[in-house]
Amino acid sequence: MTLDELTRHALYPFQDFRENDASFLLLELYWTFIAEEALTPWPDLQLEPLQAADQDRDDWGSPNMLHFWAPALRRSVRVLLLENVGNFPPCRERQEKFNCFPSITLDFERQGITGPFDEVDQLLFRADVSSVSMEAVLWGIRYFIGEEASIESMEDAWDRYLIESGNGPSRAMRDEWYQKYLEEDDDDEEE
Amino acid sequence: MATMVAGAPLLAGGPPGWIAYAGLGVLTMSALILARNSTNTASQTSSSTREGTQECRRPWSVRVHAQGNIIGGHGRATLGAPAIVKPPSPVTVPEGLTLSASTYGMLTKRQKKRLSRAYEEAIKWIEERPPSGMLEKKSFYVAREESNDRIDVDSFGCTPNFIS
Repeated sequence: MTLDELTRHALYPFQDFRENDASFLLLELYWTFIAEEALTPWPDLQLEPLQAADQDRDDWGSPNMLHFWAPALRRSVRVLLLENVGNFPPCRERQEKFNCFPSITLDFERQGITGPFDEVDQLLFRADVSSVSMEAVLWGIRYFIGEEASIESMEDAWDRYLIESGNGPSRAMRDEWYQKYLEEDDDDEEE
Repeated sequence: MATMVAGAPLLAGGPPGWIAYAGLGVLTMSALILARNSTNTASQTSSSTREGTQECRRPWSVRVHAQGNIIGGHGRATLGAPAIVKPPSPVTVPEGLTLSASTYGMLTKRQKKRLSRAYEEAIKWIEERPPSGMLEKKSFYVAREESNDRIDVDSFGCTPNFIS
């Protein structure tokens, strides 16, 4: 089975993965295939898993789909499933970029390998099962792990993507939103 | 950086440009087997450590921390109480709850308001762990949409923490 065949499978996009073991297996394969495809040009790069995919039967949300690291690079990748539980409209189809559904988000964080004292840089995606997310995750893994691109350059590229695609709030929009939110905090404190 | 210069135009072009990446790799059966072997290794490691059959010398530890733009103006910002590190035994549920409360106590009034739901979910999750405990990283977001504000619970060790 290939990634293309998975996307044409009758169970795609595997939304019943919590109840249907077959869907969960295919969903797990889907993300594994994406990682493999992204890193095909680097066949000798050793990868090690950090955490298994989570079927999330109790519906805690944001289940882990993919989590691995490249010891030689001291970098890791984590993909959490993003579901449109609130039935928000797609961000790219509206002017307002908050309270909408972006399909995918990109962030960086630090990840401990054996404990909190041996952290490495980690690329973190929250992604739904869609062509938009698939292309973004392929790009992200390829550049962060394969090409060893800097975090700053990837953040800048991601911001340009958000501005041009409208698929979520840009850095400037986010900064403005939080500044306003925290100013409201000052008002609260004075009350 | 030079790589990014080459890659950025495709990225900046949005989804249509990104399609170019889809054809770059040919998924082979050997690659699939390698990937599945990795997954199997993870399962085997997890089960064998539970059974105590594999040598493992790392201490048990748990970290509970707040992350996201609400903490420091960018997604990488993080804030949390010092991790619990216990060489002799797993971290218990009460210890995990105390640590969570310590982290929450470090937040400003506005940060608490923003993260209250995520914090409550994290607390509930620690409390309701199965008797066998857990050994993983779990994130609790303020909502399941575009925000990166969250509470993360990181559980490390040779066997699960939060056992009852």
